[in-house]
This record gives sequence, C-alpha cells and structure tokens, in this order.
Amino acid sequence: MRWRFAGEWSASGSLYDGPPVKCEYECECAAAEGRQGVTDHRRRPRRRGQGELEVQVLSALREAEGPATAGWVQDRLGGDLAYTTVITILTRLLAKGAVTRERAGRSFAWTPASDEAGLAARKMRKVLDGEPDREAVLASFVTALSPDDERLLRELLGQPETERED
Amino acid sequence: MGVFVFLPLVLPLTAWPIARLAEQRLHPGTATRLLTGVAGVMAVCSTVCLALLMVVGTAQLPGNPLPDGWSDPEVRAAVPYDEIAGRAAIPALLAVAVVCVGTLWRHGRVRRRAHRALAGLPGTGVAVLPDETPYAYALPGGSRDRVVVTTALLSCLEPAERRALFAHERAHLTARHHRFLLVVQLAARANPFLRPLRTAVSYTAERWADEEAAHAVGSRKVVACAIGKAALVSRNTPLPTLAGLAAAPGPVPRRVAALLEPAPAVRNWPSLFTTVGMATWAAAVGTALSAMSSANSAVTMFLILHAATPL
Repeated sequence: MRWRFAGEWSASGSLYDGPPVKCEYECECAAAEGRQGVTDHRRRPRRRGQGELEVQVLSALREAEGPATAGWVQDRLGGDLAYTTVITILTRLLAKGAVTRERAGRSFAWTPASDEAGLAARKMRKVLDGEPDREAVLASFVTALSPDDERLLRELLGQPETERED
Repeated sequence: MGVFVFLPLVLPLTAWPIARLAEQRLHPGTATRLLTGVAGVMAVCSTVCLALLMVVGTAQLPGNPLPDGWSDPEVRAAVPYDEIAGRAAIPALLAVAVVCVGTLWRHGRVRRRAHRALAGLPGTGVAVLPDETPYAYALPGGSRDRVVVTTALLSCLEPAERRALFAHERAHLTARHHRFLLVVQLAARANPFLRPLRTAVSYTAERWADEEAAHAVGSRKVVACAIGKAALVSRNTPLPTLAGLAAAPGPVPRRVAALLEPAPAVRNWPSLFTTVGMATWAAAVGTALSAMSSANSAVTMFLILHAATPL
C-alpha cells in the first residue's frame, strides 16, 4: 500500500500531523471558526517546496526493492532534478531519521526507515477486512450511510448536495 | 403452570416499546444501562427456561444421566406438550450455547488481533495509522486501551473536531461501553426477540459518547460536524449493513440531529403527567413485570424440579 502526503514535513519531524491529504467536505461551522490555510500550496503550480520533494524522494525510495542509490532515485523521479539536489534531499531526510544509508562501493545505498505505522495500518486493515461483523466488536465512530441518510445529513449540516466522486 | 412456562421465551417482545421510548426520551447513559440490564435479565431467564424445558421433556429418554424424579408425571404435568417442547428445546439450547460461545470467541479474537497489529507502535493512547480508508474506533484492552484512527479521517477534520473525535472514543473506553455492547449482543443471540434491544443499545452507547464528547469539547455543534464529516467521507467504505432496507433515518443522521438540539436533561424520567411520561412509565412497568414473570417462571420450574429430585 502506498501513501503520500500533500503537505510539508512538519518542523518536529513527526510524520502525521501534516495538513490534509484531501478533503472535499467542509461544513459551515468549521468555516465560521476559521480554517487553516490548508490548500495554499495547490495554488502555486510549478514551485515545489522542499517538503514536497522530500515526500517524492521518500516515496520513490519506498518503491525500490531494497536499498537504492541516489542515481536510481533521480531516474525514478524523472529528469528535471539535479543529482546534487537528490543528494541534498536524501541527506536532509537522513537527518530527520526518515531514511538510513550504507556505503556501497564509492557511493551510498539508501533505504527508507522502517515504516512501523504503515505496517500497523496494513495489519489492521487485514484484521478489519477479515471480520465481517466488526461493528459488533469495535465501537466505530460512524456507521454506513444510506443514500437517504446522506441527503438528510447534508441538510442537517447545511451543506449543498455535491457530486458523488469515487 | 400451563403455558406460562413458555412466557420467558416470548416476553422479550414487550421490551420493544421501551427500547424505542428509552432511545428517544431518556438520557443516553441511563437508556444504555437500563436497556442492557433488561436485555441481560430477559436473556438469562429465557435461557434458563429453555434448559428446564429440555430437562423436563427429555429426562425420560433412556440412558440420560438426569435424575429419574425429573420426569415424574407431576413434573411433566407442569409443562404442556412436554414431549414436543422438550425435544425442541434441545436443539434450541444447543444453538444458543454454540452461538454465544462463538460470539465471545470472535470478540476476543478481534481484540487480540487488533492489539497485535498495533504492537509495533509506541504504547500511546492514540494510534494514528497512515491509511487511505477513513475510520476510527475505540479498542478496549484494560491498561492498553487505545483509540485507533487513520490519517485519512484526521485530515478531513478541523482541530476542534479532532478533539471531539478523540473525546468520543475515549468516552467509549472510560465508560467501558464495549461491555454493554457485548451483553446485548449475547442477549440477542440467546433470544432473537431481543435484537431490537441490541440495535437500541448500540445507538444509545454512541449517543452517550457523543454527549460526553460535547461536554468535553464544550460545543455540541463541533461534535455534530465531526460525526457528519466523518460519515460523509467514509460513505464509500464497504460495510455489511442492510441500509437499503431501512426506511427510517439511520443512526448517524439521528445522532447529528440530536446534537444539534439542546442537551438532554440529566433528570432521567419524564413526569407521569404527560403523554410521553405515561407511555414511558407504562412501557417500563410492563417490561419490569415481564422480566419478573420470566424470572418467576424460571424459579418455579427450578423449584418443581428440586422438589422432584430425591436427595
């Protein structure tokens, strides 16, 4: 399973307190309480921030079978990144503990740091998918909605009907 | 005793109206406790009654280890149609036992496996999983109580709504809601007539946690928004439900609607002098009476058998 972040790495280096991946649902009370600038970076089409590059490099490394060299990462990301940029980003990721490296010949081979949260997520999905009646065991935050429920809920929250996207 | 022996098996039907009223009128915490208690008592009575029927009806079968006195004509006279009832009670009781054990086992297994899945993470009270499927739930486990939530769900909520989500799940854990849910689940397995109580309790338990969350966050509207958004964003999550058959609004819109209204009174019972109050009280008294007569039938049967056992 792959996951990616639209946002920057946070200053603390923690993985998951970044801004949202995607969210189409807003409701008026949230708007009233003042929202964060969540989607700012989307409006700038071609200026990638450092964080975005770090995420790209990291996800490229995750796709590699075993340790990968900086050259491999560069190829993987397409030609518009300089080799030195890739090295810089990898070094920055190393400082954050998101990757590890080992010497391989004259250069380094890079591996993503073990992704315990991702592993736990995959295991948890297996548990949940294997249990058809999991609602009976785990008190879930919300249960499934019927189309009528969905309409009713939108009315209650004062949201317009939106297209159903899948 | 005549047909009254069979009463504990069908009396759970009388709990339906009170389930409905309690769900709508009582404070969710009170309703959860009350309905769970009623379901538990009725399930136990109905199972005891089933066991006694089986004993009476089949004690005369050759080769059984039961005391001969249990199949004396006087004892069997207490049960109408003792032959049929006794024979029917055997598979029924076996089915109840198998299903209940299965339920308990599955409950334990899911909890164990879920804890094992999280074993690699630091032992904090909240486990955030990077997953594109939005879900959140409370995973009970004594000192290892955990709130499990995915990044996909968190990313759709504002900070205040995230607090509401965590408060909701923590309320489940601190009030040990899973025990109530397990009791009603077992009760519904023991006597299918108790199923509406199970549905009612799973709803009131959620409402209870919603109210606690609203109290903790200090805003009912934030909790309502959190629930609404979470439900809308997870609407594509395949869940095995019979949503298509339900004409009435499902639990989520009702929870949101309840949160958009003022907080329910902590005063637990409505006054007798209103229409609602009279209906509630009538239903409550009826349920109490039926539970008592269930217990009475079971105890009577037990006494008859005890008297017939040579010691």
